[in-house]
Amino acid sequence: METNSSISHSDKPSPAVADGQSLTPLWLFVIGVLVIETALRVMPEGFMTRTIQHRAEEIRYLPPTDIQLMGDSATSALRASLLERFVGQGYQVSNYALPGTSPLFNYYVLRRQIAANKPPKLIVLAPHPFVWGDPLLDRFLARFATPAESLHLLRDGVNLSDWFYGTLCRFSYTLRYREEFYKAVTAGDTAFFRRLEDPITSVQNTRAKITEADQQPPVPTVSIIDKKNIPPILSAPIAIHPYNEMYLDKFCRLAEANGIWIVWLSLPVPELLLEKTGHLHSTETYTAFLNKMTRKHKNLIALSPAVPTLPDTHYLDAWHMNQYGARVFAQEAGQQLAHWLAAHPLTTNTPATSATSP
Amino acid sequence: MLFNSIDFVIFLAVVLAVVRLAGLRLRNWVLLIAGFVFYGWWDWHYLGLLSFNCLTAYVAAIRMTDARSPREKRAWCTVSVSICVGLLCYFKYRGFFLENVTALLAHVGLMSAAKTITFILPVGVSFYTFQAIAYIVDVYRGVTPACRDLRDFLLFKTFFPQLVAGPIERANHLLPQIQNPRPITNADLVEGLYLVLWGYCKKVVIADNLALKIARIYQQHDFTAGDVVLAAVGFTFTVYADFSGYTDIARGVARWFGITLMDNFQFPYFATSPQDFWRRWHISLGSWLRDYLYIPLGGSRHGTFRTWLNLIITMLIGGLWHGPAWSYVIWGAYQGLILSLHRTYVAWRGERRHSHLSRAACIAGNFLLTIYGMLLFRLGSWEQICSATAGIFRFQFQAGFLPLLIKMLPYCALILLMETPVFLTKNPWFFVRRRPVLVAATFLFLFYLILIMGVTGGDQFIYFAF
Repeated sequence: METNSSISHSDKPSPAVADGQSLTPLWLFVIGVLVIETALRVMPEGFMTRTIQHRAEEIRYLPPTDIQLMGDSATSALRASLLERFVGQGYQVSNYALPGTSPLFNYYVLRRQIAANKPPKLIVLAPHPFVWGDPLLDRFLARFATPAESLHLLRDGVNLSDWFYGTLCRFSYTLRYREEFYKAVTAGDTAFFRRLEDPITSVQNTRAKITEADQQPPVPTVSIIDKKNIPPILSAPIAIHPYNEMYLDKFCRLAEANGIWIVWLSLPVPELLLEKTGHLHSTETYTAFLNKMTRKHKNLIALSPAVPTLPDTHYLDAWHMNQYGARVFAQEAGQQLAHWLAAHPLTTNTPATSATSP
Repeated sequence: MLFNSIDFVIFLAVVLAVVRLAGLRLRNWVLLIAGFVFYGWWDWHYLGLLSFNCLTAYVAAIRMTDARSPREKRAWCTVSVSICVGLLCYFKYRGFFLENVTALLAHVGLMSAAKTITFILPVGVSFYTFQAIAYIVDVYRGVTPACRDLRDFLLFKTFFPQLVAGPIERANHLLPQIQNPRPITNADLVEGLYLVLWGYCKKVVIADNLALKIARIYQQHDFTAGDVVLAAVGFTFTVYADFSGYTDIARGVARWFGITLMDNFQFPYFATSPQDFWRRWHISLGSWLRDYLYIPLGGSRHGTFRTWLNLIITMLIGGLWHGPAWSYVIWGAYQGLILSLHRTYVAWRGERRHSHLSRAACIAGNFLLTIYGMLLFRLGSWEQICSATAGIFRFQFQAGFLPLLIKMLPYCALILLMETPVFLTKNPWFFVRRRPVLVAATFLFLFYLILIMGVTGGDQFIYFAF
């Protein structure tokens, strides 16, 4: 040990370089980054980005419906017309679930909708229970927010570094789609690139007519969930991110100010998810949060406080119900909603004056 | 504030801009404030501890220099070193001590059950305490003069790139650079950028991805040979990429302020012996242990038995320095043992020149010793160590062994790809002293690797916990 008392050679700045080094490599590097990022800007946006942008635009010019579903890709499974049929009573239903989003997005969608004077009478808020743990702020800033909405986030007290990262993602295609690039490099998953030119069929999804398959989907007998590749977020107990809580608060207040009811529909999760973490342990935070918010906001009604489960066979993957699962759940949720609507018909009464729990 | 956080990127951009605007005259003030902000960002309550540690060393050094007698000088040295060691023990080891005492009392029936006690560990306390001790002892020995300028001394102790995870800088290396600031050169900017990019690449691309892949293996209690290979090789590369990545970022950032920090790693996995390994791995700690512990204990001057004993004591303390856990003690004992055995072997065999073949064999053999040591370092309990050691001889390779190994290989290969040319040419700026286009291409490659392959929200640096 005692032979090495001097500091190694490599820590010293190279004498020849100290005076003679040019900054050309540094400038070339900066120019290289700018060229690459500019070139990538001509690439089409991802399918999911275009879909959510299109739907958010659509919601402003299509006539509003009485009941509007909001949530994420898991909520998309609930076909609007299927729910319309189970709810009955002549109510129109649309599904404006935005895939790959968090509850944070809902507030800004509703803001845009109200600004366009196209508010629904009732919102069925049904994000997947596990999305409350991540506000997907970077995704919101990079793929969805207008410049004014970005600044609005700062005024709302969002952490500066989170905001800064999201804003960087807006300017850099690589950062914006880094997850997709990562999957392509590490797992050879090139679905993102294959779908870059896919056409958007939003209206069909938001106000879809019932198809034969929706009415009588085949009964699945085998689970196709890949148990070895459950996303980490689904393996941990449900958590509530402060930003999602803050924006749910704002969402409820905005809805209340505009006479809109919100019915909170807890989407079901596959049985195996709750088996992994223990049902009560996994969902107690969620239930407490739901109770807290329903106590706080008079226009927020919970149809069922716990996280329901469906058999694993009713799912396409750990997140998304298959057609059969969606039908089973749409029927159950539709009947619950119909029951509540029978007691609380959607009139001009504001939630603040007529709120009661079902 | 972690280096791999957006907070740090913003902080660094602000500090660089302010230093640029403030000029050379005010550089030290800006960096001093930045150091305290950087440390306080983690928990401002511990700024008091950091300040007390700095002031202890500062006052003791001046008092030793002004002492009228050797006895007074020694007294100041002893008291100040004792204060530093005492604070380190209190903040870092009291939980461990109390836990083991309660376990012992429970074992002999004087308590109903052992207690688990959790304390918050002030980040970087081991690093800045060792730095303070080195400074005090160096002033005592006359190796370095006492610094009387409080601002410069505080900056020496709190210079933010090296504050929380080293390198454990010596006063005679860092202080003159603080006292005599030099203009930032083009070389500082370009070489600094290389170090920063490669450092981040090692941390967020290699270390964090490998850590994710091997995390599950370390949770189990029944190891096969396949598990041991994956766990040991995976962690060996993870810990190197993590810590040397941190060091490279620190050195690169420091260069952007015109300060050169010492290198902490010199291709440790190419070491030919355990002794050579400690000349290449965490050099600032290895040299600290040698200069302030091993040599004062007597080094190799008092026969074979005392040399063995000194080595084992030194490495046990070196192990315990990493944290209050028995796994570090075991790792330290292991390091002490293989160093002693190697020393005995060299004494018996005599000095010989290595042929290329025997050198390669030595590197391979030492690498095996190293990865087993890393396994001891990472495993959480004695049961796991026994199971893993037994697993080596079970020669079972589960079905998932090869696919996981194949997934890990690109990350290990990336280290070899970037570091082998530097090792073979002995040119640390192999990738920087090229044609500008090639240098820029290297920077772009590393930058986009970080953007695409980097794990966001990854773990903190392993050595932040020490």
